[in-house]
Formats: sequence, structure tokens, C-alpha cells
Amino acid sequence: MSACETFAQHLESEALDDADRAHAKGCRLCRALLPEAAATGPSAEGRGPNSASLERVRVAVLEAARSAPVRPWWRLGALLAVVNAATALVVSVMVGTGNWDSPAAHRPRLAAVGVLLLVSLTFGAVAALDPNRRRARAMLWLALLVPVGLVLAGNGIATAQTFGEALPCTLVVCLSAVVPVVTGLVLLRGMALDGRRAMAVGLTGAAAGLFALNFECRDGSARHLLGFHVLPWLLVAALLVLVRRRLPTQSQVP
Amino acid sequence: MERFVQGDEKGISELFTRHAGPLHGFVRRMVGDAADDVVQTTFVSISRSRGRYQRGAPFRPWLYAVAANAARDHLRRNRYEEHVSPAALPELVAEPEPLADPGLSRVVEAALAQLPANQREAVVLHRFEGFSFRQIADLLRVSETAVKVRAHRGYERLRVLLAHLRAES
Repeated sequence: MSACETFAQHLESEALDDADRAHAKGCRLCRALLPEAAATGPSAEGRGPNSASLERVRVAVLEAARSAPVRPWWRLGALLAVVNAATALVVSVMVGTGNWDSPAAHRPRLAAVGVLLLVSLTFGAVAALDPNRRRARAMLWLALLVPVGLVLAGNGIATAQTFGEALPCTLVVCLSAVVPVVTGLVLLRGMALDGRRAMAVGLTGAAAGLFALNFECRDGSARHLLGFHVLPWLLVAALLVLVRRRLPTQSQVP
Repeated sequence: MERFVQGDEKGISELFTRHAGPLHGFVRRMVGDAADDVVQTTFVSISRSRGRYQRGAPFRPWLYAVAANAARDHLRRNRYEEHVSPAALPELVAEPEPLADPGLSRVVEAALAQLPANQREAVVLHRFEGFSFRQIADLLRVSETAVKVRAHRGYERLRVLLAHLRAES
């Protein structure tokens, strides 16, 4: 192996050794790959930013700083949480509590799933907008937890015998997601495109309909819950991701 | 940055003075002649969304994360036009070597421009900006393994391109 090939292999190391640097002193191409050569070479200086262009950028940056007030990220998260929770409660009042009042209902399990969904709608929304991406992505576990919770809370009795009888549940999930999802999209435009974060926002926002249906829908069969509650919920969240990709981004901050 | 988040405008001005020049070098290697626009997008994004800065976190990796996002967004919307055409590469290498070597950095940049964007990003951040693979993984929001794979492939292609140039010269 030639000295240049050895040098090129050592480029991947976290630090080049003395032998590499000694070789680079005598070899033009290898020397050009050293970071100090790139930073200080006349080519870098000649093609770097000139002071006029930098000054123009500085003016634009200061203008943006003056025109945009500081908005702590958790305030925007709280706003989304309030929108989600308010939507869930309004839809719950509108559709009623038929399941909760049914003698076949497992009320403790319904309550537990209700709490899970409410926490998802509120704290989940805040976490989904957290600059810490690990916390935001942790919300993706909802895609597993919520279906499991819904099926476990179901009484196993199928009451909706036809597609037409089951369809209103899907409509509740989709229509009640509109306001939370649109709010989520507006907020997501203010940060860099991140598909997983967008999915997390979609899952938490679209859970408003699931919350309402948890206390109303009397069909507790796994087939109905997964096909007419969970599936539209997942599809709405996926749709948010697709729409977000097509929207222009206002800020590239993660 | 923390002063800027609390409302002190001088904070962003000082950050700009300190970081804009070196950042411009990174961005130029990523997007070529559109570097001015992308640097502006980077700092304007930071100004508008300073509420998303995590207090206590080091500023430089965050700045480069924003710049990498801005560069990627630019490349998604625009084709990256190499500022040196591939056909000109052998002529630049064959130039007699002066004490200073203005053509050679352009050769390296032209070779970098031949790499796919994600490999170029990993190589530039690692080799020219001095970030470790761990830091690159954090700022690009991918796993460290993914960064190492991209960097390895990028270095391999760079090696092949530069070896080809060396042989021709």
C-alpha cells in the first residue's frame, strides 16, 4: 500500500498520526485534505465570504431577531396540548358516553385507557415538540401502546354488524383530528423537517377522536377497534407527515 | 446564545462575528455558490426560533445542525452545481506547485462535490470541521453507526477520485 493510500485510510481515524502529517508535508493532494490547509489556504480565503455579503447577512439576521419575539418551545407545546384536550372534550360531549353507561363495559379499563389517551393528547403533544429529539420520538411508542390499550379495554362484543354501522367511528376519528392536526402542522413549520417528530405530533393530535370514542362506542370487538378506530388514527398521523413534507419550512432549527 | 435568548441583541451579533466565517466554509462545501443564502437562512432560523435552544447545550454543534438542515433543504430544492467541472480536474492537479496552492483546494472541493450529499456532509463535518462521529450523529439526528458508514463510503470515493487525479497528473 502506498503512503498516499495509507494516509487516505487514516483520514477516517479520529486523529492522524505524525507519520501521516510528515507525509502530507511532502504531498500536495494529501496536504489539501488536512483541515488546517482548508481553513487557511489562499483558495479558502479567496472564495470565502466577503465582508459586504457578510454584512448583508448580519443585517437580515438582526432584522429577524427584532421582528420575531422569543417563543419558548414549551409554550407552543402547551398551546398544542390545550387545543388537543379541548377538541377531545368537545367531541366527547357531542357524541356522548354510551359505552361508559353500558352494563357490558369494563369501566376501570375504560378509565385507564382514557387516562392514557388524555396524557397522550396533552403531555404527549408537549413532548412531541421538545427540542430533545429522543423525548419527541419516544411518543412514537403510542403507535403500539394505544392499540393494545384499546383492545384490552374492549368488552369483546361486536355491535356494529355492517360497514355502514361502523363507519361513523372512522368519521369521528378523522373529523375530530382536523383542528389538532392543522395546529400541529402550523407549529411544525417553525422547525426543521423531521418525519418522526411529525408522526408523533400526528399521533397525539389525532387521538382526540379515540378519546371520545373510548367512552361512547359500544362495539368492543378487536376487529372494530383496530379497523375503525386505530387504523384511521394511524392514517391521519401518516397523512400529517406527508403534508408536512410538502410545506415550506420557516426555520431550520431542529 | 443564552444572552440572546433573554433578549440581548448583541448576543446574536457576537455569535455571527465568531461563527459566520468558518460556517461559510462548511456550507460552501455542501452547496457551492449558494453558501451566502444558506448561511443567512441558518442565522435567521436561529434568530426566529431561539426559543428552541436548549440552555447549557454547546452552541457550535447546534449551529452546525441548523446549517446542515438548511443545506439539505437547499439541495432538496435545487440541484447542486459543481463550481469546478469534472473535466477540469486533471489540469488543476498538473499546475506547477507555487508556495501557496490556490488550485488544490478547488480540486478537493470538486472531488467532494462528486460525493452524494449525505456522504459529503459526514466527511466535511469530520475532516474539515473537526467533529467526532458521536457529535455528528447528534447534530444530524442519526445513529453513530450510520455516520461511520456514510463517512467510510465518502472517504472511499474520495480516495478513488483523488487517486485517479494523481495517476493522471
